[in-house]
Amino acid sequence: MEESIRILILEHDNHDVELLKYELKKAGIRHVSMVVQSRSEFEEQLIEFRPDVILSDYNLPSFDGFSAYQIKQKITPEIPFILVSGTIGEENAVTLIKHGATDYVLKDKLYQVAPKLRRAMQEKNDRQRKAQAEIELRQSQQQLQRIMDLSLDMICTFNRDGRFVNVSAASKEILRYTPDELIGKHWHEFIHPEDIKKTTAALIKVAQGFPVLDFENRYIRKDGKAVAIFWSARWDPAENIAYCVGRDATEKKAAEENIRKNEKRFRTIFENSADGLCMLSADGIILEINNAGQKILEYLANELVGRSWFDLIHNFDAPIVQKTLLDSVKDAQADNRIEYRSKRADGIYRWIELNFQNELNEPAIGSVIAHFRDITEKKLAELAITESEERYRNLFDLSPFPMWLFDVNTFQFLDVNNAAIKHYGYSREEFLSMTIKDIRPKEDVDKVVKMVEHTKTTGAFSRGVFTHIKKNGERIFVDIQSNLVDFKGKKARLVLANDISGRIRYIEDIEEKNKRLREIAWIQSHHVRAPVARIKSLINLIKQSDPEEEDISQLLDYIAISVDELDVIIKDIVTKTEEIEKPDHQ
Amino acid sequence: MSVKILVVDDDDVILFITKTNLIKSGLCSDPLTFLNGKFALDHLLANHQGDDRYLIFLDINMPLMNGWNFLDEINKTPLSKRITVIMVTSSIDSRDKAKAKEYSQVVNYIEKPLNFETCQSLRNFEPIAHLF
Repeated sequence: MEESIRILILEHDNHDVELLKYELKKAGIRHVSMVVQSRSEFEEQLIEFRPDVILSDYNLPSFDGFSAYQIKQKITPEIPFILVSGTIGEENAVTLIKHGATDYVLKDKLYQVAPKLRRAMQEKNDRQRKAQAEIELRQSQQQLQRIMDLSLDMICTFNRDGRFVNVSAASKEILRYTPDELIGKHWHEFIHPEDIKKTTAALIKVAQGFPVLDFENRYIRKDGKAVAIFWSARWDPAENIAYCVGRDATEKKAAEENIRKNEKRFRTIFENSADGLCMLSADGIILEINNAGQKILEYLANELVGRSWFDLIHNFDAPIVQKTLLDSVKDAQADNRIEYRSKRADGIYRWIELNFQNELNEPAIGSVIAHFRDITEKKLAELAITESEERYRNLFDLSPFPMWLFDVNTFQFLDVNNAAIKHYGYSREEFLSMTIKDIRPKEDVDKVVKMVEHTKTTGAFSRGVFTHIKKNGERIFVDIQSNLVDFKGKKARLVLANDISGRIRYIEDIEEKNKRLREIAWIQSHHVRAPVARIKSLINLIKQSDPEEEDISQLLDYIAISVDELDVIIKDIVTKTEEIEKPDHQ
Repeated sequence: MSVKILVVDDDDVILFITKTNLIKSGLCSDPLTFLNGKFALDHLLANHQGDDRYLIFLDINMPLMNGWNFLDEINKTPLSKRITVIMVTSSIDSRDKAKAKEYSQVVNYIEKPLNFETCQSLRNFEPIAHLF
């Protein structure tokens, strides 16, 4: 519906105003009007009333139509200005029209006002629309330029000759050329020589009206480096140019290449691994299994693929393995190493060590890798070791003889039993902070170190008597038996020490006594021998003497003296021997 | 030339046995006996005459002057050239036996007592045979 037109009327003659309003009403023009007569009123209402159109008399008592027009042009140039006058004269009217007034109507032909007003309004609306359109066009052109400038993709247009018409700012990034360096140049100058042929073919297709998507070619950047670009292009028949959008493919290609490489690497590892490798879906369905894996499980791949991994597991172990897989799927970083019993085709259970590796997000793999090996031998050995370790522990702890373990490389005590603690007087903590050198006399340390060094590779069982020093400084003789053992991964010597100080002292005592006895026997027998020899000689003399001629009483006296002497000597021997046997003898 | 025989020992019985055997074996009719080296030395220094030779049966362990001291003392006198010594001792110390060899006058080392058979064999004992 047509809106009310706001009309400002400049007219001093009320009669004429009435006639004018009548004409407008008759013509059915809905309007609101304001009548002014003076220059000041006109200027005021031009702003206040905000008219859509002005109808003005030419001759006014204090004013004139030409001046009014000039005022209007200054303030609101877009508002149509129609002269309504009885006395305007052709000449004035033409001058005014020349200056831009919209139209004129003679007062005796007032019926022309309505159509002329309508036309003026129409023209005014057209003008406004056009201005609006121009603004919009300008805005959209600016937006387009912004898109062109901000796009990470390189947007460009080519004319039919193959020359750049426009290029977006991304060219600087992708080709290292600014748009200005490209515009007007032929694409031949920038493309990789090997790609000219296929690019030409692609452009021909585009020019024929077939859009091209994901076309790849290589450009040579300003710095000389080749760069792969993915293009989409479409022909615009209106402008007769090709619109092309190019994207740097280097990154994408590198990513693709990486995936290919990863996949190849993974394949190589998968096929050649000595460990079992199996690709599983997130819920444990076997997708693929390598040769080593088939050997370990004693199933062929075609017997396994499609089955659940958990079918192969001892009922007792299946839940924990299932939980481990679940954890691994939830959190790729979770610790998911597990040992369990796997059931082979022949029904025999084997111990398996397994590690789930979540590679669901790795494009080259896209599954969970079960990495596993048969550890049955190791497991059985471990169980045996645990058992033997327990047995050893008992022997060690309950032994009445001091026992300890020391590191053959550092000589550090690694463990001591209660008997050692009790016998030597050091606490366990003290022992563990000491080396075996600390319980030796200084003069023996070199010898001990050499011996340990010497036997640490041969591992020979060794035995010998050594001097040890207790915490209280007492020296003791110990009979040592030792053997090389592995203790928590360290080469150690297990030592059993038997304190034989008492025995040694006893033997020394005996030896000392024997020595003294020998001395006594030696010396005393000699002492005995002297009187005996004398007696023998005297007896000989008696035998040789002639009893009739010689008095042998002297000889007999001498024999008696010698016998007494002998008696004294024998008594002395008995006394000395008794002295040796006395316990307090030193 | 005559040889005089001296027996030096601190044991009366030994002196008696030795003297008796020396006489009975006919090696000497009047051996002189002394209870220690000092007495023997004093006697020699006081009574030696002209070219007298002396065969001395000498013990080692004696009071006052033992056998070694006796030898040392007599070696300080011209008599040293005129004595021949046979050690007659009960010493079992091998060092004594070794020491005896250091004295040129010592010709034998006999375990005491000197018995009859030994006395007889000494007459033919080469180092002293010339004395008889």
